[in-house]
Amino acid sequence: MRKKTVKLAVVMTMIAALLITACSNNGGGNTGQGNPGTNNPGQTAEGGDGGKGSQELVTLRLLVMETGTKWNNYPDSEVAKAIAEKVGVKIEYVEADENKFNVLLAGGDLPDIVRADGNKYQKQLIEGDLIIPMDDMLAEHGKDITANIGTVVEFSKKNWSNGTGNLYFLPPQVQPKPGETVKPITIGPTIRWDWYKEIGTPEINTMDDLLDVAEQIVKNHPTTEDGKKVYGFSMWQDWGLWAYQIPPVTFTALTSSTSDMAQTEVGGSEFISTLTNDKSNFWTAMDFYNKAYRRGLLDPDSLTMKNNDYMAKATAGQIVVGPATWAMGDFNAQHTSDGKGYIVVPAGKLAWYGGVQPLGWSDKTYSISKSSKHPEKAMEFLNFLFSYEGSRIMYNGVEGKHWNKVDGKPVLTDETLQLKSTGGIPFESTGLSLDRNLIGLGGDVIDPNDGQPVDLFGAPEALVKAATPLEKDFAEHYGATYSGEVFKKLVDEGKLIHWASWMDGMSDDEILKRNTVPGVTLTEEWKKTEGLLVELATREAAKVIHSKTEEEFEKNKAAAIKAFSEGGADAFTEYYNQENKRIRMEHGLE
Amino acid sequence: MSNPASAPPVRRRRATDWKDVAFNACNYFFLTVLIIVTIYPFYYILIYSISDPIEAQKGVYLWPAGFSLEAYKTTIGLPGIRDAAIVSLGRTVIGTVITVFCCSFFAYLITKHEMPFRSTIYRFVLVTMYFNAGFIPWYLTMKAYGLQNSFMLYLLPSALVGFNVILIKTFIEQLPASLEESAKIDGAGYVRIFTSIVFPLSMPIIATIAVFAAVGQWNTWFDNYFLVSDPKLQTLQLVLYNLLNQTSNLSNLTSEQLTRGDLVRTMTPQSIRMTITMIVTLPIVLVYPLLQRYFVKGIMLGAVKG
Amino acid sequence: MELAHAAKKQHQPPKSGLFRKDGIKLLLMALPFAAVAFAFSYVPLFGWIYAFFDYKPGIPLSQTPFIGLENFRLMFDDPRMGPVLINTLALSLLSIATAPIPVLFAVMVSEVRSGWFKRLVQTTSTLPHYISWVIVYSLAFSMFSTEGAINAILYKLGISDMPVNVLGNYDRVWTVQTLLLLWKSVGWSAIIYLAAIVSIDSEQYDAAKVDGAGRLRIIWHITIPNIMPTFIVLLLLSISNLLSAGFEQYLVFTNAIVADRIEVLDLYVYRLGLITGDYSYSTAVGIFKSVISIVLLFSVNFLSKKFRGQGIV
Repeated sequence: MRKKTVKLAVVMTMIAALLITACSNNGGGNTGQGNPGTNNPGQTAEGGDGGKGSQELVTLRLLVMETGTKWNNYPDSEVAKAIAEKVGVKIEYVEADENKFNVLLAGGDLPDIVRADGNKYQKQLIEGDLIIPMDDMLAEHGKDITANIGTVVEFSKKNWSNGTGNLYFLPPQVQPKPGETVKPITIGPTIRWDWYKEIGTPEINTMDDLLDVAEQIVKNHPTTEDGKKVYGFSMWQDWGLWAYQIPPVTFTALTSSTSDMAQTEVGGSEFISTLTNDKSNFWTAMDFYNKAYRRGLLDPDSLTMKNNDYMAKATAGQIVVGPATWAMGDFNAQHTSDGKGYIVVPAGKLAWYGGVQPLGWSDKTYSISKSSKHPEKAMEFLNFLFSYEGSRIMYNGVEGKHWNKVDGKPVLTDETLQLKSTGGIPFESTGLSLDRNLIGLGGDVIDPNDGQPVDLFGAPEALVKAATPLEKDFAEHYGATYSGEVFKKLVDEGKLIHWASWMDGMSDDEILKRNTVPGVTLTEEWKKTEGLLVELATREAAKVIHSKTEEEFEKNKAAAIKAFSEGGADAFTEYYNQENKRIRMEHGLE
Repeated sequence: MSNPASAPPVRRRRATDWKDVAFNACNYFFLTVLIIVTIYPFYYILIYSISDPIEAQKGVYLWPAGFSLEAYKTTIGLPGIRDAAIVSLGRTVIGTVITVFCCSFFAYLITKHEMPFRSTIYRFVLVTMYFNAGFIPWYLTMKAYGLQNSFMLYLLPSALVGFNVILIKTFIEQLPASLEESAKIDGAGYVRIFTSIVFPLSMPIIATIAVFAAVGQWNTWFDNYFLVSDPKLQTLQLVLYNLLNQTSNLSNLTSEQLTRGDLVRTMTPQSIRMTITMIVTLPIVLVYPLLQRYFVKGIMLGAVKG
Repeated sequence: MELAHAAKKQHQPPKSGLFRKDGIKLLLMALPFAAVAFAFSYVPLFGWIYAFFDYKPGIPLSQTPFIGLENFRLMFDDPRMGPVLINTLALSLLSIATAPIPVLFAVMVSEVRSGWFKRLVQTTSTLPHYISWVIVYSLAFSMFSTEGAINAILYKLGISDMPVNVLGNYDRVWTVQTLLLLWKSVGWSAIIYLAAIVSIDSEQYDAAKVDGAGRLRIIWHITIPNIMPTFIVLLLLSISNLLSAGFEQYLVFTNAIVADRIEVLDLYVYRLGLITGDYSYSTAVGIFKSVISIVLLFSVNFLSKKFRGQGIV
C-alpha cells in the first residue's frame, strides 16, 4: 500500500510537470524580464514607413539598468498613447542590474533599445557587435536629432564609438545652456525653517556659522514634541563618501568631475587631491563634523546608520540641518498646514542651480541593438525624444488636454498643476515626466517655437502656482515671489555664484567648447586604486571625526593623510591632472 | 543498582525526583527565553506591516504605530500576483517531490557497497556542492538546454543536491541491516526494498529534506529573474521583489516631490519589506507545524523483532 | 557498555560475490542521477575559462586577450587579501565553534513532554531563518542603536549613562556577528538533529531506564552518541566551507567603524567587482574557493578515516 502510493505520487508528479511545461514553454525566444502587468506584446507591423496613425503598433523593448522603474505599470497612460499615435510604437521596459546585463551581453540577448553607460560599455557593445551605428538612419529618421543636438552627435561619434567614428550612443537630458528660471533648490543646508526664523535667520557664510546656528537651535529645542532627542547634524553611511563630499560644496565651491578623488573649483581645470589636500571638501567636512561631534551636535549613530534610518529620524523631526530636501523623509509632507518644514537656505558661496549638461546624462545613453527587428522604428522613437514636440509631450502631456496655448504661449492647465502636487498614482498614470531618463532634451531648454522651457513645469508661473505654504513663507521673508527667486536675487547681487556663473559673458560657442571636453576616463588600474582609497577614506573618516580634542584631531588627520598618500592618493592626483591637461590640449583648450 | 535479569521491566514510580524537576524547569526556562527571542522579531515585522508607514519610521516596539493596511492592499492588489502565487506553489510542491525522490533514491543506491565505482559516483555528485561557475556560464548552459522560459527550469537543476544526499545516506546507514537482509531473502528487488522499507523508515530525514527543499523552492527568484520573462511563469518572489524596488527607487519620485522636499508618499520601502516578509513567510509558518507529525519514528522495530 | 554499542549499527559490506550482477544493476540506476549532476553542475564549469582571459561580457572569447594566471597572481599579491582572509577564517571558525549549540537545543526540545510546547518551540525557533538579513539589520538597528530599545532599558535601569554602541563596536564585531548568525540559524540547523533524535531506537532507551539511568545519563550515553555521525558529517562539511563565511549578513552590517573586520572574501570580491567590473577576476576567485573547499573536504575526510575509522565520502 505504502509503496503503491509513493509510486503513484511520483507518476502523477511527472505528468503534472509535463503538462505545465507543455502549456507554458514557448520556445524560449524571449529574454530579459517584463513586469507581469503587461501581458500584451503587441502585433508586429510592416517595416519603417513612418507608421503614423497606423493601426498596428510595434513593440520596442528597452533595456534599462535600473530596478524599480514604473513605466510598465502604465501602458495606457496619456503619454504612451501619444507615443503610439505619433511614432507608432509601444515601449516596454526590461530591467537589468549589472549582473543581468553582463549575462545578456554574454548571451547576445539584448532587446531592441539599450540604455546604458555608453562610455563604460562602448568597447563591449561595439566590439561584441551587439549594437548598430545610427549614421545611415539619421538622414531619413533622425532629422530632429541632427537639428537639435548636433554637437552631441559629433561628440558621440568622436568619444563614444570605440574609435570607429560612427554614431552609436545618444544621451538623454541634453541641456547646452543654463535654464532661465530657478526651480526650488534641493541641495544645500536644509534647515528647519520655523526654528531658523525663531533665531532671526542669521547669515551663514562659513561652516562654522552653520555650527553656531545649529547650536542655538538645539539649545532652544533639545527635544521634539514627541520627546525624542534633537541632533544638529547626522549622516548616513551607505552612499560612500557622499556625506563628506557634497554638503561642503555650498561653502567651498569645489567639485569633482569624473572621480571623487580629485576636486577643482567650479569651472576650473586644476585638480587638487581630495584626500591629501586639506582645503578639499573632504577635509572641510572632517573639520566640520569633528567640531560638531566635540560640541555635542552630532548624532552618535552617524557613523553606523543607513539612508533609511536617517530619513526615519528626519521624519520624526530629530535633525536640525540636513544636506538636501529629499533627505528629510516625510517631515514636510506631514506638516504642510502648519508651516513647519525643511528648506534650503542661502549660505556660503554657492547656490545649487544652473547646471548645464551639454552632453546630457551620459551614463544613460541609448543605442539600438543589432538583434532588433525594427531598427528604423527605434530610430524614429529616439528622434521623437529629441524633438521639441516629443520632449514637451513627455514632460507635460498632450496639447489641449494638459496644456493649452494662451496668447500663443503654452501654459499648463490648473488641473494638471493640481494633479502634479497631489502626486501618487493619479499623476503617475498620466505618464507625464514619468521617466526623465526617457526625455531627450533637458527641461530648461528653450523651445524656439514659443520661447518657453520645454518642461512647462519649470516656467515661472507654474513655479509660483506650485509653491507650498512653506516655500511661500520662505520667499516672502527674503522679498521674492517664489523660492528659487531668493537665490537668483543673491546671485544677481553678486553674493552667491551658481554652477554656470563662470560662464557669464562667454559666447555660446565658448560655453559649448568648454563643456564638451570629455573628463578623464580612468583605467582599470586607477579605478582599483580609487576604489580602495574610497574605502580607506571611509574608515579613516570615522576615526578622525571621533577625535575628542583638537590635538587628537590633528594627530589623526596627519595619520590619515599619510595613509592616503601611501595608498596612492597623490600619485592619483598627479596622473589625473596630467590626463586632464592632455585631453584639454587635444580639444584646443590649453 | 538493580539486577536487570530479575527485576520486572516495569517503570517504577519514584517519589518526586528533584533532579527530574530541576531538569525540566531549566529546560522550559531556556526554551521559553528562546521562544521570546525568536518570536519577538517576527512580531515586530507583523506590527510594522500593519502600522501606518510614515508613523512607523518613528519607532515601533510593542504596538503598531497607527494602523494601516495600505501596504497589504498595495501588495495583494498587484497585477499578476495571484498567478505568481500559483506558480510559486506549483514549483514548491512539484519541485520538492522531485528533489526528495531523486536525493533519497540516489542516497539509497549509494549505500549499497556492491555497486562498482560507488565511491567515485558519490564523490562525483558531492563535489558539486562547491562548484559555482558564475552567472554567465550558468545562463548560457540553461539557455542551451532550452530551459529558458520553461517551468522545468524551476524543477530540474535542483533535483539532486549533494547536501541532501549526504544527510540521507548517513541516516540510511544507521538503519539496522537486518531489515534489508530479511527482505532480500524474501526475494525483494532494490526498488521494492527502497519503497517499502527504507523510504518509510527514513521519514524523519525525508521530512527534513522536504522542508529544506520546499522553503528553497518557495524563496528562489533568481532563476526567474535571469531566464524567465514569460509573465505566466513569474514567481511570487520576483513580483514582490519588483514591488520593493519600485518603492525604494528614489528617482521614481516626480521631480516636483524632490524639489519641494515634500516626499508626499503613503508608502515606505520599509513597510513594503515588512509586508512582503509576512506574506511570504506566513504560509511556511502555517504549514510547517503540520509537517512535524512526520518527525516521528517510522513503523520500524516491531517488524524486526517479530 | 551495551549502551554505547547499542548506538552503532552500521551497514556491513556483503560477504561475497553473490550480488555481482546486482552491482551493475545498481550502477545503471545511479547513472541517470550522476548525469543530472553532470548536466547542471559540471557543464557550466566551462565558464572557468573566463578566469584566464581578460574577458569582458559581450566580446567573444576569440577576440579576447589571454592573460593566463594573471588573475591568480593579482589575488596573491593583493595586500588586502591577507586581512580579508583572516576575517573570513575568524568568522567561519567562530561559527563552527557554535556548532554544538543546535545539538544542545535539539536535545532540549526532544526532552519536552508537552506536545504543544514542543511544536511551538520548533516552529518559532525557525522563524529567524525566514527573515532576510536586511530586515535583521533594521531590527538590530531599532534595538541596538543609541536610541534603540536596549539602550533605553539600560538607561532606565540606571545601569549605564553612556549609550552602548553595539553596531559600531570594532572590538566586538566578530562576537556580535557570530551571535546574530547563531540566533538566525540555531532553529533551522536543529531540524536535522531533531530528525536524528526521533529515529533513535526506543529499545536503547528502555534498556537504559531499566538499568536505572537518570535523564542526564541517558542523554549523554544514548542520545548524543546516536546523533554523533550526523554531527560529525555536518561539522566536516562546515570546515570545507571555510572560505564561504557569508555575504548578505556582512553586506548589511558593514559600516565605517567595523568595515576592516567584517569584510569577508565574498564581500571583498563583490566590492571589487562593483568598482572594476572585472568579471574574470571574480571567476578566478571562484575557482580558488572551489579548489580550496574540495581540498579541505578530502583532507578532513582523510583525517576522519584515520581517527574515527570512517570518513564521510
